[in-house]
Amino acid sequence: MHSQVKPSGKEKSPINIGSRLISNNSSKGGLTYLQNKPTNQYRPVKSKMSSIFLELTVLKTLFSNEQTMRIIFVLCVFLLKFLNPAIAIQKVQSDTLSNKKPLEDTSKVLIKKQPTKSKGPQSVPVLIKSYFPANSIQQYLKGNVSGLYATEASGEPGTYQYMFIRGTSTPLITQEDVLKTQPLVVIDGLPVLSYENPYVYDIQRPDYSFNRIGPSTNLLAGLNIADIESVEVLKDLSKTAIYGPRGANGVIYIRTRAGSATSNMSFNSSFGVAAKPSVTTLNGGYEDNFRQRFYSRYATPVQLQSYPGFLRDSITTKYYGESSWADAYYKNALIYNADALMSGGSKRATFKFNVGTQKSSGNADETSLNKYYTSIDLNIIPRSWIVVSANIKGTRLDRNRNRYNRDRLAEIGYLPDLTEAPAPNIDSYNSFINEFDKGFDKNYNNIANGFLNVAIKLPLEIDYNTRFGVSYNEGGRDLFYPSTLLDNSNYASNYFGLSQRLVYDNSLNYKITLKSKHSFDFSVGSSIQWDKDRYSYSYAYKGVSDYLKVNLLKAGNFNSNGAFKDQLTFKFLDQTATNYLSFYTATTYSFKDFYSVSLLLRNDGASNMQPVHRWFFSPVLSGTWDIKKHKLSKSPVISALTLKASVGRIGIAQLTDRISLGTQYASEAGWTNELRIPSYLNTATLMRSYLYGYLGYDIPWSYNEQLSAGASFGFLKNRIVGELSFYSTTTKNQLINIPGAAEYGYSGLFQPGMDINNKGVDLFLSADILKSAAKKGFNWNSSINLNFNRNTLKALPGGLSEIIIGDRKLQVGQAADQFWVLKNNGIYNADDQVPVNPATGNKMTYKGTVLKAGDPKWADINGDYNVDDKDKILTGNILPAVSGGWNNSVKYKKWDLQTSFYFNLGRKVLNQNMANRFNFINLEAENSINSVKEFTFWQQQGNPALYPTYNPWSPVIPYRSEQDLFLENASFLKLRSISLGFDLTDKLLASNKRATRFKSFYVFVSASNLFTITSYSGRDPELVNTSGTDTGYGLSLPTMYTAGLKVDFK
Amino acid sequence: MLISLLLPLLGCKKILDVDSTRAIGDVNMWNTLEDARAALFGVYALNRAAMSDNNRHVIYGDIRLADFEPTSRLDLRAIHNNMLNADYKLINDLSDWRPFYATINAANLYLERIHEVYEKDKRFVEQTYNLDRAQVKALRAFSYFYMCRIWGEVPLILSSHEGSFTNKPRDPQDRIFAVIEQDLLEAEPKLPYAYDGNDPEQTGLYYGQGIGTYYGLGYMVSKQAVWTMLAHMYAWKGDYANAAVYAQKIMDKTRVVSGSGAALAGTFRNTSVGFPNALRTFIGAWTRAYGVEQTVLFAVARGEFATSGVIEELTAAEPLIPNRKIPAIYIPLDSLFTMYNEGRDSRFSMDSVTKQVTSFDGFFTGFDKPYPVFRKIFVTWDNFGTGKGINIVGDFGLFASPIVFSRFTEMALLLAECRAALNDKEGAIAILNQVRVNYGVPAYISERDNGPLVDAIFKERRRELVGEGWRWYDYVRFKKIKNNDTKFNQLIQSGGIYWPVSRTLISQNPMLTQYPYWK
Repeated sequence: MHSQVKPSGKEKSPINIGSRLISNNSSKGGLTYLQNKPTNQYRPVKSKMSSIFLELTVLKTLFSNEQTMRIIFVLCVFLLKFLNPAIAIQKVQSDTLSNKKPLEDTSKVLIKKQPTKSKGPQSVPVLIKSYFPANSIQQYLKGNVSGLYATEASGEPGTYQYMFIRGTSTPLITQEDVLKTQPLVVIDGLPVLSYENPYVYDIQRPDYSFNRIGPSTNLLAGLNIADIESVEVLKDLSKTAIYGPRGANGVIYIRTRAGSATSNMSFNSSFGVAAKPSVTTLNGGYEDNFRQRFYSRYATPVQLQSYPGFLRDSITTKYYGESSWADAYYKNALIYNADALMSGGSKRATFKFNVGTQKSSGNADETSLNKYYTSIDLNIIPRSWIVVSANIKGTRLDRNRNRYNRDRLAEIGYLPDLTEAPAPNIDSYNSFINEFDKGFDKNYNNIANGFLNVAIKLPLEIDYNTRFGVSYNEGGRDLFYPSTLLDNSNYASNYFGLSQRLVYDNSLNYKITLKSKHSFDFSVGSSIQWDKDRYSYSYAYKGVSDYLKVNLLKAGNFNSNGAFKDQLTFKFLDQTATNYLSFYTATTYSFKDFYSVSLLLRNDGASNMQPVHRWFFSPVLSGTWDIKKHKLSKSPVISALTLKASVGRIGIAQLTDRISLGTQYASEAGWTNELRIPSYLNTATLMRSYLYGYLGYDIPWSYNEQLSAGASFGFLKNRIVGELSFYSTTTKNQLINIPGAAEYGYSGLFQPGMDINNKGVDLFLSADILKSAAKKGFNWNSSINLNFNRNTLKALPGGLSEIIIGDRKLQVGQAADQFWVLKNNGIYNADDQVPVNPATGNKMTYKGTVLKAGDPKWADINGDYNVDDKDKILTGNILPAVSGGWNNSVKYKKWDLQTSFYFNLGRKVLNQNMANRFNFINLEAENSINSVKEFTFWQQQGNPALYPTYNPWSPVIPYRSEQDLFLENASFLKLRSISLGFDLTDKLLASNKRATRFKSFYVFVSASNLFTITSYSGRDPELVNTSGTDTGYGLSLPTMYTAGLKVDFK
Repeated sequence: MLISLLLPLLGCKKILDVDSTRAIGDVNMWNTLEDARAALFGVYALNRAAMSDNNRHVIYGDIRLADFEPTSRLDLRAIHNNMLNADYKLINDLSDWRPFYATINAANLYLERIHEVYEKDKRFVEQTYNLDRAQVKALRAFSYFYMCRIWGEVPLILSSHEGSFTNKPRDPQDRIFAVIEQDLLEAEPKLPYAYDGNDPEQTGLYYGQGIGTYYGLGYMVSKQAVWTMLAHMYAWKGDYANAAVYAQKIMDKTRVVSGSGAALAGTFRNTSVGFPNALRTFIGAWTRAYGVEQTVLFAVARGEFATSGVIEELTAAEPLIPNRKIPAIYIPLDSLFTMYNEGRDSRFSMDSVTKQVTSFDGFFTGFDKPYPVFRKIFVTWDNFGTGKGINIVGDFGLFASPIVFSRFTEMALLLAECRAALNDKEGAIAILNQVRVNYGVPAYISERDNGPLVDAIFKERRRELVGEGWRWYDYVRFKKIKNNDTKFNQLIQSGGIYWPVSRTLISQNPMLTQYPYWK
C-alpha cells in the first residue's frame, strides 16, 4: 500500500504509524496533520519509523544515479585491466576457444560469433529480417514467432505493449493480472526489468487507471533493435525451466551483436515518415442529426429542454462550422534511426561498441519516442582457461505523450464541468495546444543493463561460470498544466521511480563421455536475485501563477509559502523488495547423437511467499530423439527429423510482496472515488485491507504443469523445414480475489486454487519455393508461423463452479477470457410487443424494471420473464484462437523483396466506443471520466447504421456495452510490412576502386501497416485493451514509409 | 568456487526474509498505544467512508422520494423516483452494504484484540482502554442502526470471524435493536461529554492532543452522541416514550454543547461572520461553548478534502463554483415555496409585494440561475478552517463539509415529535415555537389555527434539516405516526421503504433474501 507523506509547517517529521509514513493532506491551516509531539510522548514503535528513515537514506545512496554510474565505472575499470595488450597478445590456439560450446546456453563466452540461421526450426535462434521500423521488441516480434501474441493497443510510440506466450494463464482482469502473465526477457543471459512495477495502481482510482502514474513507458522500447543479433522465444519447460519462476510465462531470449576478432564497422540508418491518416471528420450538424432521431422519437418536453448546449445553436460556426481539427491533429511525422557499430580485437580479446539513436513517431497529437543508446561488449581470454565477458547497455527514452483530455483529467484527479465538447475546428484545437504548451509534460526513462561473466575451465572437464548482473531502470514524469486548462487551477506533478535488479549466478558443469557413445553432462547452480522498487510522487493544485513552473514538489524542498499551497499538495511514496534464491541441478544423458534425456531439478525460494511456503521444488524431464540420424540417415526425402518432449512443472513468481504478510492492515480510509485518504481527524488510521481483500495464511506457490511434445523436420534437402509442437500447460493453485465476505467488510477474499489449462499447437513452416543455385537466379522463400491456443478454466478455489468479478464471469469448464454479455435480438417497437409471463400476467422486465417500447429485446435465456445477469451468456474470446504471420522473401539478382503479413483469427472485440456514442444521454449526464470528450469525438469511427434506435433515456440503459450487439468479430489480416532492397556492394566496388573499404552496401525502402482486412466495423481491430474492449482511445497504428541503408566496412 | 555456489545457502534465511513495507502484518499490530490509536481512528474513518461512499448519506436521505431533484443524471432520477431496481451502477453500489460492514468488522476486531495492547503497553491506561472500547461499541451500534434504516433486517455479526467468513442470513430487527441498545447503554457511562479533559471519563489530553486537534467536540462519540443515537433508534422503532427520555436528556444534561469548530465554519449558520446572533442560536443557554455557537451533537468529520463523496459534489454550482454550470441536484423553486410558506422565513422566503426571493440565512442562492443552488452546506478548501463562511465563492471543487448526523435543533424537533406522539401537545408546541421564532416564522398556536401539530413539526424538520440527510426517514416516521395512508402501509409491509439488497451480494451469499417489493 502507498504511504502519503507531507512535511507540515510545524514539524518536519511525520509520525509513523505502523511502517508507513502518513501526513497531511488536511486542510487545517496551522495544525499539524499528524500530531507527533516534540515531547515524543508517543514514540514510534519498534523503531518502525527509524527503520524506514534509515532505509530511505540507504536507498537514496543505493538507488541514486551515481550508483549505476559507479557500477558501470567499476565494471569498466575491471575490464580495462583485462584489456591490457600484454595479456592480449599471448598466443593461444584459436580452436581452443571456437570449438567450445558455451557452458550454458545463456552465456556469451564464445568469441566467435554464434552462427545464426535465417530459417529453420524455431528452437534455434531466428534472425528476424524485417524492415519494419519497430520501436520495441514487441513490435519486432509481432507476427514473426509462433506462439507469441503481441498486443499493440495504441500507435503512440512507447506505450505499453503486452505479450502473451501460448495464451494467458490467468483471467486478465487487473493490470497486475496482465503483468503477471508477461514473459521474462533475457538479454545476453541477463534477466532484465521489462515493465514498470504495478504497485502504483494502489493509489490510482481503478476507473482512472488508463495510465500508470509516472512515465508509463514500455521499457522494452529501450532495447536497440539494430543491435539485436537474434531472438529466441523459449516456450517449453525444457528451455524455460532454467530461468526459474520468473520465466514461467515463457522467455524471450535476445542475443545482441557480439564482437568479432576481425575489426569491423557498420552503419545502419533509415529515415521515413509516419503518414497522416485520412479520416472523416464530423461537426455539430452531424451530431445534431445523429441525436435528433432519438429526440424526435423518445424525448419528453423536459428532455427536449435539456438538449446539450453545444448543439443547441445551429447558427454559430463554433460547432456547426467546418470540422477542421484533424488538419492539425494528424500530421506526417518524421521517423529515423541511426546506428553505428564498431567491433574488433584479437583472438584473445574482442570488443563491440555501439551507439545510436531512434525517433519513433505517431501520426497524431505529436506523439513520439526518442531513444539514445549505447552498448559495450567485451570478451577477454587472459589465460586459456578463463574467459571474461562484460556487457553494458544504456538507454535514454524521452516520450512525448498524447494530449487526451481524459488522460489529463485522470492524472489530475479532478473533473470540471464536462457538458461542453471541444469545438471541431482547427482554431479550437490550436488554441488548446497553445495553452497546453504553456505547461510541460516530460517523461523520461534511463535504463541500464550490465553484467560481468567469468567462465573458468577447471581440470577434469569441469567448467565453472559466475555472473553478476544489474538491471536498472529509473523513470520520471514532470508535469505542469496551466490554469487555462482547468477551472482556473494549474496543476503540477512530479514522479520519480526506480527499479533495480541484481543477479548473482554460479554454476558448475561436468561433462564426461564414455566409449564415445554415452555422454553425461552434469551441472549444478545457484542464483540469487534482489529486486527493489521505489517511487515518490507528488502533485499539487492551484499554484500561484502559471509562470511559476519551478518544480517545488520535490521532497525536502517543500515550502508552504512557495508556489503551491500546503493544503493542496499531496505526496506519496512506496517501496517494495522481493528476493529470489534458487538452486538447481541438471543431468543430461546422450547416446551418440541419437537420444538425449535431461532431468532438471530446482528449488526456488521467494521472499514474497509466506514463510511456511517459501520454497518450491520443480522437476523437469525432457528428451529428444533424432530419428534422421538414428533411423533415416539414408532417406532421400527426409533431411531432418527430431522428436522432442518434455514434462514437468515450475513455480510462478508473484508480483506483490503483500502475500508474504498474510492478514494485514493498511491506511485505506478512503471511499469510492477518493481512495487516497489516509487519516481521520488529523490522525493516522490503520484498518484491515477491506478494499484490497482478505489475505489469509497458508498460501501455496502457484505453478505451471506442462506437457509438450513436438517434432522439427526438414524435407528435400531442407528446402522445406518446419516445426510442429503440441502443448498442454495447466497453471495450478493460482491466487484469485473472489468477491465475497461483504458482511465481514471485505471486497473479496484471496484464495488459492484456480487452475487454468492452455492447450495448443505451434506450427512453423518454411519452404524455398524457388531455389536457384546461381547467383543471379530467382529465389523465393515463404514461411508461415502460427499458434492455435485455447484456455479452459479447470477449477476455482473451494470447489466453486463459477464466480463473477465485475463484468466478467469465470465458469469452470469454460475459457477464462470470454466476454459475458446479454444476447440482443432487436427492439421492442411497441409496448405490446413485450412478452407477458402467462403465469403472473406481468410483462418481461430487465432486473425488475418493466421493458417498454424503445427498449432492447434481450434474450431471456432462463425463461423467468426477467432479464438479468443469469441471462448473460459467455461468448467470444479476448485472445485470438489463431495468431501468426506469413512472410515471403523473393530474391532476384541483387534485389530482394520481403512481405510480412500478420493475422488474428477467432477473436472478438467489444466495441465500447460505439456503445458510448449511443449512450450519450447517460454519459453526458453523469459528468464522470466517461463523459470526457476529445477532439476525436468529431471523427467517424464506426458504423452507426448497425444499431437500432433505442430509447436512450430508458432506465434499462439500452446501449449498455455488455451485450452482443457491440461484440464483433475482430479477426483480421494485415500487411504489416513490405520492403524492397538492393545490394549495391558490387556496383560500388566496380565503379570505384577506392571503395574497397566496403564489405557490403545495402539500401532498402519499406512501407508498413499498409492495409487491414477485417469485418470489424470500428477502427483498427488491434486497438483494444487487454479486456478486449475498444474504448476508442489509442492512436492509430500509422502507415510508415522508410528508406534506409546498411553499410558494413572492412 | 564451491563456496560461491553454496554462498546463497548461508545467507539463505536472510535473503528471503524481506518485510513488506506496503502494509502491516498481523504480528506488528495490536502492540502499542499507537496501534490502538490508529485502530480506533480506523473505525471512525471507515464509518466516514461508509457514509461518504458515493454520497450515500445524501442520496439515501435527501434524494430518494425527497426534496432534492436531479437535474440531468438518470441514475439519481431513478433513485428520486424510488426505482431502485434500475440497473445503474450507482444504485448497485448503494445497495451494497459492504462499507458499513467494514466499520462493523473493524469494530469487532478492535473489541477482540485491543486487550493485547492493554497488556503490552503500559502507556495505554485503563481510562483510555475503557473510553476507546466504548467509542468503538457506539460506532458499531451506529452502523447497525444506519443499516437497519436502509435495509431493514440485516445479518447481525458481532465477531470478526477471522478467516472463516461464513454466509449469514438476515436477522430480525428486534434482535439487532436489542444489541444496539445494549451496546449504547454499555458505552454511555464510559464516555465524556467532551474530549476536553474536563470529564472524569476523559482527563487530560486525549492521545496527547487538545480538543482543537479533533476540530471541536462533535466528531467523537460523546454521551450526547449516544443519546442522539438512542433517541433516534427508539423513534424509528416507534417507541416514543424512550425516545423522549434521551431527547430530553440532551436538553437537560448536556454539560457543554458539542460542536464543530473550524471545520464547520460557514455551515449551519454557526459562524460568527455575517449573521445576527439571534439566528445562530437556538436557546441562549447554549451559546457559551467556546465563544462560538456550536450545536453539533454527532457528526462525521471531513478534515480531508475530497472532490467526491461530499454533498457539494452534487449541490454546488454557479454562483458558488464559477465553472460548474448546473448542480447535479437541486430543490425546484416551486418546492421551496411550498416548504417555506409561513411568514418571512429567514431560511428562504419570497416578499409577497416585491416578489423578491431571499434566502437571508444562506440556505439557498442562485435564484437567477436555471436551478437554485443549495448553499447551506458549503465548505471549500479555502474557507475550511478560516471561518470565511458560505458567502465565499469557491474556485476549485475540493470540499470539506462534514456529515452532521444530529445537532441540537434536530434533537429539539425530535423531542417535539416525541411529545406530540405521546400527546403532550403543549410541551411539543413550546419547543416547536422556539425554533420557529428563531427564523421569523409566526408561532404555532393551536391545531385549529395552524393545522395538525404533527404535520407542523415535520414541516419544520423539513425546512430546518434540508440537506442533512433526514427527509426520507422523517417521511417514514411521519407516515407511521399518521398511519392513514394504506398505500404507504403496504410499502412498509412489503419492505418497500427499504433499499433492495444488491444482487451481487445475493449472488455471493445465497442465504440473503430480497424483500417482496424489490423482487
